[in-house]
Amino acid sequence: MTRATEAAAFFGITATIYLALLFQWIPIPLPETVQEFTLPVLPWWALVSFGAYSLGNIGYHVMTFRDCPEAYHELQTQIAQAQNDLRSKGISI
Amino acid sequence: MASGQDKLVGASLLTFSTVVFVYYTLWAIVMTYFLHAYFPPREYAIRIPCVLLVFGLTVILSFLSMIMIKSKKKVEKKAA
Repeated sequence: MTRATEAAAFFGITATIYLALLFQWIPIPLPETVQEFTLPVLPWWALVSFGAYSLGNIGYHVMTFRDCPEAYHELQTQIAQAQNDLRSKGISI
Repeated sequence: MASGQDKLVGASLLTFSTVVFVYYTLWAIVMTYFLHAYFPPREYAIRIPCVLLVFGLTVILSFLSMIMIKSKKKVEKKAA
């Protein structure tokens, strides 16, 4: 199953369950507070927490990004070598 | 490790998103009578994300449409 199909299936199933509970198509008695207060708010809560999770994920990875100074210096010397090489062959950089 | 400034930016993003998540969860779902002093009325828990979503989508889509119009004009100019 491709990623897109998997995501669509997950989304469809959660949406169906949520709508079934919200409009009481299934005769499952939920507690009063859950039915009246929690269920209508859940999609917005899911959206906000998805945004917060994305932002937090980005922040976490920015925070723990591993620099590699040796690779940086090696790359710099290689760039300098390439520039000198090309300059000696007459191409202006 | 990432540079000091990068770490600061990352950490601030992380704490901001955690605070937003906890605050919004308490506000929209867990609201009990102890907490009524610290939160605005509960309708705003729906209205604020709704307004932000509408504004955000408007900005993004109008930006996209401006770019599409500009690129179409460029193509027409080149063909002419």
